[in-house]
Amino acid sequence: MSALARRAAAILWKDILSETRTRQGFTAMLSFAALVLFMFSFAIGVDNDLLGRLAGGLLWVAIVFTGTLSLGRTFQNEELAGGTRLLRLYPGDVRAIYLGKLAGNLVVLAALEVVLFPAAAILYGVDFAAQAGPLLLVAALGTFGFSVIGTFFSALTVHLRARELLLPLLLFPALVPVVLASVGATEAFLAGDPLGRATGWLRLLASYDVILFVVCVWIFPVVLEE
Amino acid sequence: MNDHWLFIGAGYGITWVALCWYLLRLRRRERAVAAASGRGGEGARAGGPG
Amino acid sequence: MNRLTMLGWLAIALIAVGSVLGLVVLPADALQGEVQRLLYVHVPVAWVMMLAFFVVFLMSILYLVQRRLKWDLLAVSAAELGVVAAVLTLILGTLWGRPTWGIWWAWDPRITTTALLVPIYTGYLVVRSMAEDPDRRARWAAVIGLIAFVQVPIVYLSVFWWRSLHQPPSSPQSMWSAYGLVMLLGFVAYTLAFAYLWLRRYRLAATELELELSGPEEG
Repeated sequence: MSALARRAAAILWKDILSETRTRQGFTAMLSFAALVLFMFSFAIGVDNDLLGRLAGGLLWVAIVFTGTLSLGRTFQNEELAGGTRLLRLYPGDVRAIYLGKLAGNLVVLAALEVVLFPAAAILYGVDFAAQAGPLLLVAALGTFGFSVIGTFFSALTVHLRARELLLPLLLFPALVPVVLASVGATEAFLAGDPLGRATGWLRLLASYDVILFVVCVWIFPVVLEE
Repeated sequence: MNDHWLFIGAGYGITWVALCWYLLRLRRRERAVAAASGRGGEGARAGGPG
Repeated sequence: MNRLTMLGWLAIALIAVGSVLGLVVLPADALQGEVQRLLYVHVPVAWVMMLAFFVVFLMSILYLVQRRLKWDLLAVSAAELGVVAAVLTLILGTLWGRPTWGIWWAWDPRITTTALLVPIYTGYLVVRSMAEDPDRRARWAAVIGLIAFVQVPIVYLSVFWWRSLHQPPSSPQSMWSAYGLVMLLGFVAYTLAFAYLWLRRYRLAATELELELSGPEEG
């Protein structure tokens, strides 16, 4: 088990190193996310009350769109350097590749959200800080679910033609519970949770995360088989 | 009340059209495959309904 | 006539009988009026859709365990029919919903989940059509078929919590009325039609695979 964790950490570290050396990818991603937030305001108008009520949903859609773009880069280094044959050359259990790449996507998305949450708070005039603790939990569970499914489907589509199109096609339906639960919980907490629905959403989100994580880890070796 | 028959007719009609469309599509592909494999008799026998 | 062809004719005959009974013979429903007649098609087709996707799941599992291409071909044949049945279910549902609820579309869990099944299994079919190697193609398809089946109940549950409005499924007590019998006939007829199309589609897929593997002489 510790060997698995060590190998996953090695892959994560390798990706972080190669990412921080350039940083262009991440900067572009942040700009894209900011643009998405602006687009929503342009589409909806400058009604501050309305924007405030929709903030939870808009924020999560921005995260999903931007995250999907960044997922396409998950296996980019290996793909450029010789396709997934290279991935299979990594020693040990191939599940370490999945776990390492999953951790990488979590780091990228967490970095994105650190910027995106305050940006949405300012642009849409909502007070995330008042509910910081619960919202952090929602963000963590939502981001984990997104990365679990996203990393898996990027591995599955990496060698396909038209993968930019196929990844969202497979990913978005699978994300429906994550998006509904994250938006539901975010909005419930922002409103002070008057109906007590937030806990139900969190429970649903956590169960979905766990179930898909188990299934994805279990079946991942099949994806990389030759 | 009468325009409900429009919806009912459309529903049953679309179902039948879909069935026929799928059967015809199957048969066209079966013929193409039979022609490619040079076993013409197979495709004709597979014709069946539709 | 071979057995498969007989199955096909039987299915068509039963669908025809069911349509005549549903359209002409039965009187209009006391509560819903004439538009109830659409349910004799809508409900069985929805059932066929669920059956088809369950078959995809089973065949995917079988493929992953045994690695025989046969299971993959059976899975893809069912997936194709499932997508057709899902689209048909949605069309019939909107045609029934408009006169009954006054709206074409309701954000109901069953409708929304059915609508989501279409892109899920379209993705399955597209991924499968894009891979060249039969074993790879089968493996990726089986993985998607398995994951899809895990996610669908939770998609349903999450949409259910989000919003609900659909009329509950037909209750068992009402099944033994004349309506129930016509509905039952619909279930039998459309299930047989599914079996027929599925097996015939499978035979086609098997021949195509044979051609593909036998080499470059195909045009």
